[in-house]
Amino acid sequence: MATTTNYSWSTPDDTALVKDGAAAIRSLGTAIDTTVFNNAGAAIAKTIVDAKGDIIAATASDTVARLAVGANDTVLTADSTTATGLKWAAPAGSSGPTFGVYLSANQSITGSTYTKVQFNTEEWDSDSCFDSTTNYRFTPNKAGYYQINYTVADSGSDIYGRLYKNGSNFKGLWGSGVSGAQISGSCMVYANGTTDYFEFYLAHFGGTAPIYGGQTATFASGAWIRG
Amino acid sequence: MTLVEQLIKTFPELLDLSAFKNDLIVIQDDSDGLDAYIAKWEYSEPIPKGLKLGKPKG
Repeated sequence: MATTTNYSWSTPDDTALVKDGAAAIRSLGTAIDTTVFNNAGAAIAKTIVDAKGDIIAATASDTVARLAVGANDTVLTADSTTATGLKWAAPAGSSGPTFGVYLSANQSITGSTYTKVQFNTEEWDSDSCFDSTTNYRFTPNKAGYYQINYTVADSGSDIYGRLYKNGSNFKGLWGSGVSGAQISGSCMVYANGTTDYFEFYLAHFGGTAPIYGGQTATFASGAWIRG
Repeated sequence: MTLVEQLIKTFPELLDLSAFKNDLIVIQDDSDGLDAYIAKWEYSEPIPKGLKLGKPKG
């Protein structure tokens, strides 16, 4: 007796004398029926998906479920707490807070006194992390490393700028012996995304004199770089 | 009279401002409407009477 290549169904040999054609056909038909039935039962039914973008994921060994498509611009992310071990989530690390501010008018400061620069005008503040009305500070709401830039124009002599973190001197952005100048500094800092905040202080070592205000005179900016 | 001027009056040697520039003494103003205060004092002499280290409570 010959058999088919894939499923080994029994078929008459080419030279066999078919004594009972009906029985042979019924036998082959039964074999085909059994195979198709078993294959269909093991296959994933197309009705498991309902909409464009649906995907099929395993929930356990030999068990599958539908995972509906996520919102636009989300990415498939592993998450062991979900049934499928997958979820749609916003891509991590693509962007973060950024700000640009300046001092709108001259700010008089006392000599030899580190004074917080009142950056009171926002050019942009993407995530409302800069307080330009009360504390003049940047409190980023996303953890990571930030580029901070700081430029000040001051009429005093011996100008010292400082970036404060959480109320303490953190980075001396510059020290200069010049008088009546515009000087700049920049650095990268880490913020925890919850409580860390940054402020800008300035001192000049002479008498009382103004920090020059204006969009082109005294300004600061910052941006999230990476997590 | 500013706080710095008060200190210089007590310690005339501070007039060259080097103690301020070198962070032995840090006077700070938080631009919050309160007066400037002594934020750091590592000068060789004690803080003059009537003054104290740290921000006064508003």
